[in-house]
Amino acid sequence: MSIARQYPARLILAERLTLAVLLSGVASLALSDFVSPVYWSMVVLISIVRLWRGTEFSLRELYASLIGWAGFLWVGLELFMGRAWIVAFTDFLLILSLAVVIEEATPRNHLHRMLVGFFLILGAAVLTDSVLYVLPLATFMWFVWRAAQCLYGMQLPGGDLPLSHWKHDLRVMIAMASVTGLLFMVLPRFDFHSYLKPVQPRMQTSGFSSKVQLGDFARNLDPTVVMRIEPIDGDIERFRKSMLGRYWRGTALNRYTGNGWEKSTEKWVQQRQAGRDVSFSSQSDGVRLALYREASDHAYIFTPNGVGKVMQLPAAVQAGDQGSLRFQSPPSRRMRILMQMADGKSGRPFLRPPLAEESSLRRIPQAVKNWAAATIGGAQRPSVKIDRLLTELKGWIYDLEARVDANRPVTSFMAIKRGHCELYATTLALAARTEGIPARVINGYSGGEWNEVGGFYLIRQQHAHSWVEAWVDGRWQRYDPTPSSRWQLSAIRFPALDEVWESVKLSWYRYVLEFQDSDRGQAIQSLLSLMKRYAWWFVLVSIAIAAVIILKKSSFRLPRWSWASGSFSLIDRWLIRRGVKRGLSQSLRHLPLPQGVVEREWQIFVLNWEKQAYGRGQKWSRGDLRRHLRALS
Amino acid sequence: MLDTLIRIEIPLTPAWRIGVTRPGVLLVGVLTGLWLAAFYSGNNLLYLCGAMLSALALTSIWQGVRLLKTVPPLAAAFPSSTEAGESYVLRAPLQHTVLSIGMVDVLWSGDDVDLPLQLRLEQEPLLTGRLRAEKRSLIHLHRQRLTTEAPLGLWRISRFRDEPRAWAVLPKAVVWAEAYSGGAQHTKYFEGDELRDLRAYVPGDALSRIHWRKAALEVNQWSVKQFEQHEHTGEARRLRVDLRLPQSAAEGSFEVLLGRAWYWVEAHLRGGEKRLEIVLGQQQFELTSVEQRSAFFMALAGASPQTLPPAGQNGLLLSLVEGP
Repeated sequence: MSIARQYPARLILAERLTLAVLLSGVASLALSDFVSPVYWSMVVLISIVRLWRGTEFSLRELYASLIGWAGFLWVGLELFMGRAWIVAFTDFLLILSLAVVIEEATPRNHLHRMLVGFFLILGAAVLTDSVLYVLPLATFMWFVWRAAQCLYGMQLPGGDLPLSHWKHDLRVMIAMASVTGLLFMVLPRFDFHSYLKPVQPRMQTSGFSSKVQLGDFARNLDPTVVMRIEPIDGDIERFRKSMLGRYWRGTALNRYTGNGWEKSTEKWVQQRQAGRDVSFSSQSDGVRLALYREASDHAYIFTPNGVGKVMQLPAAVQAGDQGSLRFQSPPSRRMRILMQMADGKSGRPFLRPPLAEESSLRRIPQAVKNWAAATIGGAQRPSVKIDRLLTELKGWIYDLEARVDANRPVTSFMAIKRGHCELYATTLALAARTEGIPARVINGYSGGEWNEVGGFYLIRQQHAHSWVEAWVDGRWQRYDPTPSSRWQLSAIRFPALDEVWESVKLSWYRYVLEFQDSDRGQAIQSLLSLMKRYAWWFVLVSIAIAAVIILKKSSFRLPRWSWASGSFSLIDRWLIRRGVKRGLSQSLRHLPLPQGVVEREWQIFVLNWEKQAYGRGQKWSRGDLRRHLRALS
Repeated sequence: MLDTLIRIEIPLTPAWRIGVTRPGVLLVGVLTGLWLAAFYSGNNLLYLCGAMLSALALTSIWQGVRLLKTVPPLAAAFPSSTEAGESYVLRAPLQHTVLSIGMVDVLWSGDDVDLPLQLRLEQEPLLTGRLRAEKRSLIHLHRQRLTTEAPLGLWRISRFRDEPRAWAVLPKAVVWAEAYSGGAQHTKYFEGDELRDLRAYVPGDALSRIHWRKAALEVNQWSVKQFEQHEHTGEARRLRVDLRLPQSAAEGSFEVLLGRAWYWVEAHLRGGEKRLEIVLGQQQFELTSVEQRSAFFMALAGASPQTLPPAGQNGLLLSLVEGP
């Protein structure tokens, strides 16, 4: 540590402001799940010590730079050990932050801090897409302004300039925020490459791999959001009704393994490049939606039943003959997917007739066969058979905590007649097969929450669901054997708050992260339509503002509300009760004596009243006045 | 390279120019890189960062422009005259409400003169500078270049404006005594019974008026006592300066003449003379009037040899011409 030196107060102020700039950058990077808390918490800790101990807690620039070089070597080692380059880079930035936090307070140190803070903010722009990013960004802007102002005003001829008042700077901040918003909206998007697109950690999900164990999927009430669905245009109420209770199809599992399912090789019947459409139906019911898919470790795009078209694909996708639609590789960031709903009558194309393994009886427990035979009885038609099995299963109990033997889950489930949706779907699919009906299990999502605040659907991991597709009457039909009690379960503790928060997040995704050139046109159109709708209001408000400005610039002064006149109403009422009517602007001293009041006391009251009302003394409150009047009575 | 960049000034309008400072060059570099990254990637968060930093840069320009627009007229704070060869330290507070804080460099240009000043805009605005001219002259200042780097030190914004102001550089005062100079009508050895002031001794002063007690302490510099009467006679003191320059006059004698005239005025003004008049060539000035006094300073600073004798009659005559 260097020997304690005397620093001018202004330098200490600059030191604190530049430290705040740096910490804003650290806070923004800390929002990213890619960044190790060890690194950023170390910087925060050293910053606290620096603030506490002051500038005497510092290293000379040479020694501080050695920390930076050590960080560089350490990051090289990290890369050598196979750490992702972007994570290694952020580690390096944070080690560098540590060095500049502890560095001696010099003008160059201030520059270092501001530059590193800036790079941290930029790093965070790639490594996080959290709505909270806006907070460190705003504090960064504020502290950069103050710090730069402080540094500019130092060591000028005639002494340091004072910092401007924070209220003045607040007005500047509002102006800056407005310009930021305007520039953000107006500037064109080019998107030559996606290397610097914001990335997010891929959500770990089960149930969408090629092999699924029963119990892997849909067992937890996990509130993590999987996708958000909002209408692109049109009537929100119509959209809400249209999307109510849709099944969002993911993957089809058709090979039963005894304690789970496997997916047979799917034949890809359509491949579409980014920007193209995948069409399922030529019919449309007019509902169009935007689906915001969180980054997941699988590549499936969830499509609702009745989907007509997936439009303007954000990346290349392929559609399979089992009804799957998926990206060629799992994207590492949130994606906006546009869809158009069909009229509801159209079926899903590309679905081929059943394969042999979708009728296979291999590994089906005897208990299922017996139960199916007993439940169906003498029914002959496949649809009737399925209906009977469904009716029976829906009478069982939905229980996420049911103790099911992992080695023979279906037999165990049938014995206790309680379990989760995978067990219901598996049992129905296997039972259907025993009756000669080809069937398979579909994993996806169902239901969802309607967000009243933002007007959109929200699908969480807790809405993960399994159901059955059976080949009945020459086509694949959906059957859901899970009891309806399943949809009453939720892990959300504060639904009202959660609605608001999710609405804010969707607005962030919609209007910031996913803002596109097309949105600018829409925004202008919305603005124009708003202006047309409220044209008269705009005119009236403009006239009012102009009038206020003119009055303000002229010598006219609005009459100020007088405390005395406000209190007269109370006195007048009191006087009337005592037979005295006070004339307009008549002073109290010229009034006749109110009934039941001693003359001497009345005179003293009037004197005191005038003293406090027109003198310099403290004004009576209404309570005081009441008390004085009561004393007179 | 950096110095070249800093020297560049981009004209925005005929009256406004903008350039970058060293930190400004850094900001421009960072902004350029940031926008390239944003355009390359289409990452909206990079757009947001770029928009934010651009807003910061634009707002600082706007604040700088606003600051320069609110700079008050400086002529009132500028001294009406200084003396040739003397340094005048200007430190004039301005009566002005400051909207933004900052430092403004003022370059006030005139006839072959560029006068650098500094305006410190804070709670009590202050105009500072060092004024020095070697020769007597009347300098007409007219165009101001106001430059500031406020509020963040990123941009160097310049505003040009016209504010005419005459700067009278008066001749160096040449000390002389009225008695020694020729005994005009109003010159009296005994002016009154009240000690008014001391002035430096010049050869010819009466020995009785030397302040001997003070001379005992300061051997090298004698002072002469000046008296005044309690009740003024009411008659004006007048000096007539003949601006004619004879062919045979020595070089610099004209300046000495004006220097003496200036000394006479200065000494009497300092003495609190109630009525004081001076005739400078054909011009006459009543020096107890502020306006007339300013006009006299201008006339004295701009005086040149003339062919006509001084106007008027009576009073002390100061002339290089021998005879009537």
